[in-house]
Amino acid sequence: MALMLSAAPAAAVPPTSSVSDAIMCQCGCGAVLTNCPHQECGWGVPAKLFIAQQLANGKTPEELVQYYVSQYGEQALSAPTKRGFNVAAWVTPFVVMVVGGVAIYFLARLWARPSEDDPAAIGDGVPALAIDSSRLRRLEDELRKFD
Amino acid sequence: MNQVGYTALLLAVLISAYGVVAPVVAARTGQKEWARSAENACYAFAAATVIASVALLYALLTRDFGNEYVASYTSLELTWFYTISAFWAGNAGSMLLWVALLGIYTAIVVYQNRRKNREILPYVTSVLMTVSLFFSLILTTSHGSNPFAMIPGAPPANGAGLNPMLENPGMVFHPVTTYLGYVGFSIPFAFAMGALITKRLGDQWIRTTRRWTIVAWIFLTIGNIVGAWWAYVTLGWGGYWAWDPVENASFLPWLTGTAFLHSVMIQEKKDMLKVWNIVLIIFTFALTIFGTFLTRSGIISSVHSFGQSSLGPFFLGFLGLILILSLNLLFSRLELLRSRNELDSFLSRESSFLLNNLILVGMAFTILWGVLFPIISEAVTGNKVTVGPPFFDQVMTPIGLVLMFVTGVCPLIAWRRATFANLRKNFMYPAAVGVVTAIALVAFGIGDHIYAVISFSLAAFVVASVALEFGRGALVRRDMAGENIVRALGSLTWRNKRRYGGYIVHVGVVLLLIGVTGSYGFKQEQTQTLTEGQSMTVGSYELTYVSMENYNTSEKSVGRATFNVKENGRDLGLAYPVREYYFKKDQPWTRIDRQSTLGRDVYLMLLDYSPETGQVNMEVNINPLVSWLWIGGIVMVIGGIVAIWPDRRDSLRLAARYERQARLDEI
Repeated sequence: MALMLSAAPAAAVPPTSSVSDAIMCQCGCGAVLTNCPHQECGWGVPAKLFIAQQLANGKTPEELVQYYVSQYGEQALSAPTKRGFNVAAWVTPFVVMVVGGVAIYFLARLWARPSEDDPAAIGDGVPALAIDSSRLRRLEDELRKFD
Repeated sequence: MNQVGYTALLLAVLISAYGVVAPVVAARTGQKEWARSAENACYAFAAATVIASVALLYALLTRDFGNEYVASYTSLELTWFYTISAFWAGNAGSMLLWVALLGIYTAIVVYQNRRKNREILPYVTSVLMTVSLFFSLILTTSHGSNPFAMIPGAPPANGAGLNPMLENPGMVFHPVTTYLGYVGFSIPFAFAMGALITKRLGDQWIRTTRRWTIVAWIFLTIGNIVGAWWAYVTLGWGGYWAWDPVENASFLPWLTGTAFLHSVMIQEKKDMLKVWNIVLIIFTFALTIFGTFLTRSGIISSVHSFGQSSLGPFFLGFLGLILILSLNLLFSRLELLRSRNELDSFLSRESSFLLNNLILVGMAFTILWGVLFPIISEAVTGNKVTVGPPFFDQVMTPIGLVLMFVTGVCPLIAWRRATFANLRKNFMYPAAVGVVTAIALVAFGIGDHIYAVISFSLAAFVVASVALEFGRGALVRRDMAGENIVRALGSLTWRNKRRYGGYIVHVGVVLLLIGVTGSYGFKQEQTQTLTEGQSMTVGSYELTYVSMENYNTSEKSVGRATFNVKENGRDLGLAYPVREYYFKKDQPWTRIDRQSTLGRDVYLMLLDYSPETGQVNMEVNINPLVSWLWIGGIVMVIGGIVAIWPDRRDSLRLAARYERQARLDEI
């Protein structure tokens, strides 16, 4: 696997997707330019050709992305910027996960029995299936009775 | 036949309306005649919707172009195979499919429970018939949703034909399996509501619906995987998942459904999380309706949407009604749902399941947040923003990696109580495998791709932990039963289908994520214009344009290029990317070709060609490991099937357990 993956050489010109992944197609399909489902898209096909030409001419992906933002506004970007209110888009999922994690930690602590050496507890840390052979034999016998 | 179909739908409306009320009367009065009649209504509803479906299929296959739906989605040139898929190519047909599946599912539920769950069943069928009534009403009363609407005047000589992007085997199976999954979640939801109404809030409803939930989950898994495969081989952009709002909508109930499948185990084993399980199934079902709303609301543009439709407000209203009524019912029963909430130990499998639920629900929240953020942003700042794939890729990747870690950790922690010493012992081998994998990957020079290194290492860790579980169990069986190790593995799995089926699903998830990591992290692409005899190079692959063949059929013109593909000078054979032009629809279409191995796909797209000069504009992608995504999907489904395979011993064990529990309760 590693041999196969490491075979990728560095490309001199950035691929078209370095720009087309970052901007939305403006044909109204609602998809990222790369994924526009209209194969003969009146906006997307010329845009991809333009991007390929500009990259070949030495423009950087950042410059081209900026060009589209200047033309169509921030909405042209396929993801919110990491500035201002948009930070909320990026941070909120992690905040929710962390808060949820802390809540679960305290809930699990609260719910855990205070006595850690409760004799009723089985499974001394070994996964449930790795039970000793006498128990397994008993289990087998019982199951055989059911059969 | 159109009249027959429409009449059957009208009857379905009446029957479902009766089916909503009759079971409640039966339950309140205790009269057996009402109960029998209500159950017969469910069978009659199923029959009516099946008759309507057969009528539509007949109209499609006989090319009855007087039927507006048939004229819109078929043509004389369409093969019978894709004519069948035209059934669900449009809004009306897909709604009929939904209703018919719900009718069949409901009939099966009634039959299965003819001698059990008698107290809860009337409310279950009433809930299912309410959903059926909603969909039947839409089919018969909403403009554009009647599959039997006729064209005024003389029928056209030929139909418009199917959209070429739907002419793919994936599109025959993707909608059906997705709907089988969506509709399947109605059953556990209805049982949950029945349990709340009747105040039978033990785990009976969970045990009764466990197989239904897994069946729904399996179908939704198949639906999502086949949908991804269809996008990959049809849409021609070299990928399979675009975080399209509708893709997200079908992923959401899968995530919450997966969380539900895990958390019900805690209720079964510890009598805990009762409220949480009901919340999960309410939202899972609501999310299936949300997905249907998205495709029909017209509020989003998507390859999945059925265009402009006036159904949005109806679905939104129905969704609101579901949430208000079910959550209200849940709140009214909170006192009865109070659990003992007692864990034997903080460090236990139960605790790890809480973490697993947090991550799965957190992923669902993240997706929903991404879908809703543009609306929130515009409301708060007045700025319109787009939340597309880069957002989901960046936010979901770390969360997904944590989920993968937890997938490996869970089987290593004992139920009820684990100690750090044993945990260390159980972790040792899988962790070592993970670390060795990471070191090997860095040594092979892919250390720059940090997420890929983490992902592949975690994959190795999870596979090792599952292998350890299988290995330990098989060794015990070998010693006990005197079986050879292969047979011991088989009988171990067969005797504990639920547990080991689940582990097989975990392996499937890992294989799928290996495919995702490889194809996302190491994709290479190149676009180039070529004349005959010229070559292009992408990574270690050289593709030589050999020739172009042009021909016409009655419905399209076809340009078929021939490419010779070599890898490091070694001949891999010929590939034939195709460019078509559909006369009637005035639509060009690309049919990709690919050379697929377990290591990578060479993916060829003929973007354009000139019949005069023979020049072609080609895009070639090298997608490493993408085959593992499909293999992972298949393994997940196999694991799911193993987990639900009927087992007499399981039933007897459960029966004995509940009998014991009942005796204890009496004491």
